[in-house]
Amino acid sequence: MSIRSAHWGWIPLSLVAANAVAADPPAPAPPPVPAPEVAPAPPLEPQPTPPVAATPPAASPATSAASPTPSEAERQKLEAEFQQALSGSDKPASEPAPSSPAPAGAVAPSALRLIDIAFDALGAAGTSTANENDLRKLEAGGHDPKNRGFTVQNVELTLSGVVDPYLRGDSNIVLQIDETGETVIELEEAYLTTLDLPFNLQLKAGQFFTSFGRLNPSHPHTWDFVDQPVINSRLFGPDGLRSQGAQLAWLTPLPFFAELTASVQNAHGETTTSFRNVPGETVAGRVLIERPVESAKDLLYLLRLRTSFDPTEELTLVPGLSALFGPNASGTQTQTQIYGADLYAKWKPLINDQGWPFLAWQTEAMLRRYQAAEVVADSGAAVEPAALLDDYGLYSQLLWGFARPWVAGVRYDYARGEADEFTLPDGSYSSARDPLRDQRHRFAAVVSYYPSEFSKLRLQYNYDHAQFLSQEDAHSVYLQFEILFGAHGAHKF
Amino acid sequence: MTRYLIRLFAALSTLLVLAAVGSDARAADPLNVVATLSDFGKIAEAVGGDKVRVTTIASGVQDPHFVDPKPSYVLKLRDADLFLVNGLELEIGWVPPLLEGARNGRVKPGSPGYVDCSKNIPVLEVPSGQVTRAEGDVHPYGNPHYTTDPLNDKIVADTIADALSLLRPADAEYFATRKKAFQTGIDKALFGAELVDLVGGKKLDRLARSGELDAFLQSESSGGAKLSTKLGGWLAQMAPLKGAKVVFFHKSYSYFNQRFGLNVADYVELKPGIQPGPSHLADVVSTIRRENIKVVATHPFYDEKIAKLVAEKGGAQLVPLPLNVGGVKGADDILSFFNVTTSTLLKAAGK
Repeated sequence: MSIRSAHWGWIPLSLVAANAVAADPPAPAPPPVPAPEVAPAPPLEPQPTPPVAATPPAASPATSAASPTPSEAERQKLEAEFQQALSGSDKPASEPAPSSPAPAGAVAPSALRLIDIAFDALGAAGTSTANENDLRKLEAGGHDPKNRGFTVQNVELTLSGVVDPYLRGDSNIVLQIDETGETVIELEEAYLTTLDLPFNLQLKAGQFFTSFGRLNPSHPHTWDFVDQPVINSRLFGPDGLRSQGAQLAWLTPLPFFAELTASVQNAHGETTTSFRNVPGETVAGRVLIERPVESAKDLLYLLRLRTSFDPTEELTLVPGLSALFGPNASGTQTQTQIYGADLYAKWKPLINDQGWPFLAWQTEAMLRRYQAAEVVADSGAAVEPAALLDDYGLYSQLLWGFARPWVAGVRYDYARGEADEFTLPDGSYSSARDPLRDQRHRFAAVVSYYPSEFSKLRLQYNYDHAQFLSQEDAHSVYLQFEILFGAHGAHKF
Repeated sequence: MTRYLIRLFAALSTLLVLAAVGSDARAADPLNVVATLSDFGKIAEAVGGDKVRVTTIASGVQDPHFVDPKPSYVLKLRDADLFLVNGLELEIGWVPPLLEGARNGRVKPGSPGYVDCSKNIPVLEVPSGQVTRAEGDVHPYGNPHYTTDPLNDKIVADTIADALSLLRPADAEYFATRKKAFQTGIDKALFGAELVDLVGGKKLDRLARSGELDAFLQSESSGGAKLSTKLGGWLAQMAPLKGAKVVFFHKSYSYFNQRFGLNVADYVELKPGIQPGPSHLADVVSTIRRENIKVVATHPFYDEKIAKLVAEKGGAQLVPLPLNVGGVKGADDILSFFNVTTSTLLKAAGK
């Protein structure tokens, strides 16, 4: 889903990190200048680059003074001196830094790339005709804007690196400020990925987003809208479906792209809302119970097939199918199944201006079948028999990068639970009054502006129609902003 | 339902494994070479001949910085024996996800099948001191567009021949012969056949790189005539443009400009990857007028509207140049790339 899968030249933070960790003995790191306005290199001056000797430089990166010939080195030193004399006014900013990056003409020294660090902050400002209490039910996603005023949606620290020839590691640490003003820290993801398994296999293990569909495994700063689709919030909870476990993904040897993924993860906790969510929470008015793992059936299983076709050089289709099986905590034997189909289609002309223009269409449809256990009153008599609750929905969005660096988009959201009415010990339940199961329509329109790959400004309008709302309609407007600095993880297509 | 689906999954897997076994014909010749960019694909074809089957990921008309990591490219890499990349972080936005998706140990960085073609290239414009993104899209390892110097393409041919010979030692001689022919072809096209025969390509290459070629050709003579009269090829054709001031859109031709002595007075892009502002564009226009610049060079994938406006306002000609082989019509291989580039520039400058 990379509307900006394009690259903008990434200065590897690892360089800095590498220098810090594996400090080059002959190159005492210059004292970190307290970030003065680093005089931007004057890129406009055509630098009369010195002609370069043909001899391929010795492949010894340690001695960066290994200039081809001594006279060449002398000449470059001289030039550096001239340059400093010429630049006159700015004395400290342009330190010649003789042992740092190689001078033009030498092969760039290799740097030990130990860790990539990135920091991303996503915030929103906005308001809605719905009051704040209702707004938090309309925008049920954990990263959705849910205040009249400002919302810190997601502040994320990403650390990743290659562990050894066999493994790489990734982690995402998320900070949020919740409605009470409390700062929450979450280990969103921390997992290893194998680099060298045979038979086109890849293993992932740790805490990670379940690979269901397209949106669930993605991070908020890569989303094309300010908020997540209604159906995602309903089936996967505020934070998305993620848990601890292992996943095996196989790139099939077929003549077209087809990847089969299977995973097994723990099915309990607040990040698995459709499964063994936290005891005391409710689903369709039924209070969830403690349900320990008794057999392999009490874990969460995923199957996913993702394929891709290029009908033309400029059009790519990525269809996928997903299925989830796991226990739920409404009873001791109850199960949940979730099925999904997704399609991503992107058109981008071969001759494009840094990724623009493009047209990207993404749709996901999902169905959850939730076996709700019978409800038993204190007397022991069954109040309400067991039921199969069906919830379904879809979203469909079209993004149009009409002119660099602008992207406009629309999204339609639909979600509903089968109309269900129960009599429960503490009153009656109706799906129409349940903000997580009522019938919902949402229409969203968005415009995003990307000053660079590393920042964005976004304006979105939402029209909501929700059964649970007393006046049924709500209009909301949000302004979102993002900054990202540090290394940048690769975009997915 | 669950059990049924699992059974279906198992059946499907079995089917796919059978398909895999049936279609595994990779052990046979030729070597499957995948190149990120057309330039490396063409050089690999020149060196590898019929012992290689070459696939290129990005076509020559594309901006190599901005390629989507499409799943179909993962498939190409899955089956590759040799993977040729430009390096210097040019493809950092799209090669890492492709490599990770391909799960192909033969072309993993560190394996003999992963070849960074920037190896042994004398890199230009390596930033010194501190670099931040305040300067835009700065390539921390230096300018990555080194294939725009024909002499660098000879180094790439060496690199590719070495890699092929490592994978197929039995064919090493075949690759060496073809590489030599390719390199001689470049020398003759650059310096002229007569001069190459007189002096030798190796020596000319060395002199051109050290900047001593002109002095050498002036001082030496052969058969009563100064060697400078024997200079032919692109260098002789481009001689009228030596020292000429031009405006470029992006720092994409630094190697070319060094080789042929073009002098870039300004860039349309103030900071790489950041849209230029109007005041900078006005500056560029006044530079063009003040310096009487004839050529505003761009690539077809850059914003034509802005480049055109700058050229028009300044009274210069907008010249679309290829960045890689296939970038414009007629630039179909390494030699024709430079034929097209040099003749386009000469025509635009009225020489």
